[in-house]
Amino acid sequence: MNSTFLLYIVDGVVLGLIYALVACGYSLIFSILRIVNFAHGSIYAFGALMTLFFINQGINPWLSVLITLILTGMLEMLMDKVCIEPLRKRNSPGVSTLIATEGYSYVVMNMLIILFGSGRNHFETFYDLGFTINIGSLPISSTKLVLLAISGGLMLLMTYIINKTHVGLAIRAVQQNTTSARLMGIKVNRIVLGTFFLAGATAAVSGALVAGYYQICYPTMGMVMGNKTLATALLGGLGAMHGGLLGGIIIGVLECIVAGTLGATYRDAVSFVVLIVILIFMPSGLFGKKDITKV
Amino acid sequence: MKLLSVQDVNVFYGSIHAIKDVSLDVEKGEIVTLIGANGAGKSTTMGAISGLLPKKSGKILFKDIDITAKPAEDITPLGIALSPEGRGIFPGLTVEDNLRLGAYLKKDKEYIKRQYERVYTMFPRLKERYKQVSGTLSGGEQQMLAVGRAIMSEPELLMLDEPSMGLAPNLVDFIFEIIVDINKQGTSILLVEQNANMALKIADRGYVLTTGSIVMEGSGKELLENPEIRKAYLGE
Ligand SMILES: Nc1ncnc2c1ncn2[C@@H]1O[C@H](COP(=O)(O)OP(=O)(O)O)[C@@H](O)[C@H]1O
Ligand SMILES: [Mg+2]
Repeated sequence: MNSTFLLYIVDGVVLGLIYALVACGYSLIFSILRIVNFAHGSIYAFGALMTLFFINQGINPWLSVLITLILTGMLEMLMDKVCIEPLRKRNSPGVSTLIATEGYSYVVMNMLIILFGSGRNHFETFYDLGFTINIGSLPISSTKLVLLAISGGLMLLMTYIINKTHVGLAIRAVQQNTTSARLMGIKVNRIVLGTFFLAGATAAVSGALVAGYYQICYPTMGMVMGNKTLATALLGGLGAMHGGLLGGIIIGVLECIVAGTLGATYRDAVSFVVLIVILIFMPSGLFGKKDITKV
Repeated sequence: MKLLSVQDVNVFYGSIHAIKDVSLDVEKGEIVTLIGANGAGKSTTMGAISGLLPKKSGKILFKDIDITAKPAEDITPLGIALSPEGRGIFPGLTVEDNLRLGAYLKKDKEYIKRQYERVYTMFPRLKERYKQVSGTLSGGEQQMLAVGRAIMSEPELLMLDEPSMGLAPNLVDFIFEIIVDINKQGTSILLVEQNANMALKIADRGYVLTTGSIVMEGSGKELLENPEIRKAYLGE
């Protein structure tokens, strides 16, 4: 394998982990409520722009990310409270919820346009540690390493929370059987809110990291990202987090190969072509449960 | 002392009037059974007591606390546990995680350990399979898990909705022995069964539900000897 090709793979994995991290948010909410949150992309953009806003106020970039993470988590919780929980209470059909999240998406996006304008904002890379390591002949910049470490670390943290903590046990119980979870004394609405918080928080960190990586952010930046990471989550099997990781890496690597060989114009189409092809052969994704209906 | 008192409760599903002015009591230490044909409203009654279903009218008291309007998650901590119809286990979780959830509100590690031991002593099969994903258990084992999970928090009132459903005869006997055993350990029991014969044999008292209304009540023995009951529910 020549080194250009290896570079595509490294870049693809870095990108793939970020996709996987954003895809986590879709999977978490889907596995609990069986709905796709179409506001996820806008919320990701909110994370990027708010981080930039705080940095521009002279606040330390990492602290800015932390503040934004909390705010973004709250923005997702607000979405549950104002537009999803009321529909859930009335047993509305899933499509109403879907449109409600789509609506929330536009509200968030328009709010961002009002606050920051619709143009592109420069976003200084805040995690360039200024070194490059060489693996063989392959140079890997510190930015890529930090990106890998943070997105990988957050994925691990989420996996730990869900599989090893008391709250995580409740989250898994609600995913499996809401009625039984209530009989155990679990307050389902709180678990749902907590899940929305986690989804928002990870989207915010991803938004800030990606904006820093490409040095740019704008209110509509979540549209392509939102769709692409939804493809990632579907590819892995909605609700399966390890599936999202593999889905992210597949899409990330293919995207970098296509961008490097055929040209960047085609990069966004790749993920959807891959998605469609894989779903034809594996309708529930790579790791999805065969039976997706709730017990 | 009256542990549970259900007074003139009505439940509707849309326009379907599922239970009509249902009243029943469970005294401390009793096994009370609710029998009736399929569709009589037994599960609806259990759902109403446990807080899963809203009540149109009537009143439910547990330890003299009005729980009529409380949701299930607020009733469980008061000391009521339901093992629902169809078992309601968490199929993707291990046996031990299912049991842990039965005492989700308890944080004391030593307490949880003692409860695992108690359940495992009752159901050695569950101990052998504690790491197994519960959806892969046999029907009988899943039923054991549902009962084991319900007693993890040492409820004062254990409600069992058709625990013998779909089980092989020897397992049915085993489950009924366990119910008596749990009751001897001090837990009051409200038992819903289609297997009226077995249920009435172990029950102190019983109620008969027909199309949403309680039509008869009495001691287990009385009901068991009642010719009408024998004809309608015991297949004679
Ligand atoms: N979710 C529901 N929606 C509408 N009707 C229901 C529902 N659940 C039960 N019913 C109806 O209520 C009545 C009582 O049902 P149920 O309490 O399940 O009876 P049982 O447990 O005695 O078999 C039946 O006529 C049943 O068809
Ligand atoms: Mg029933």
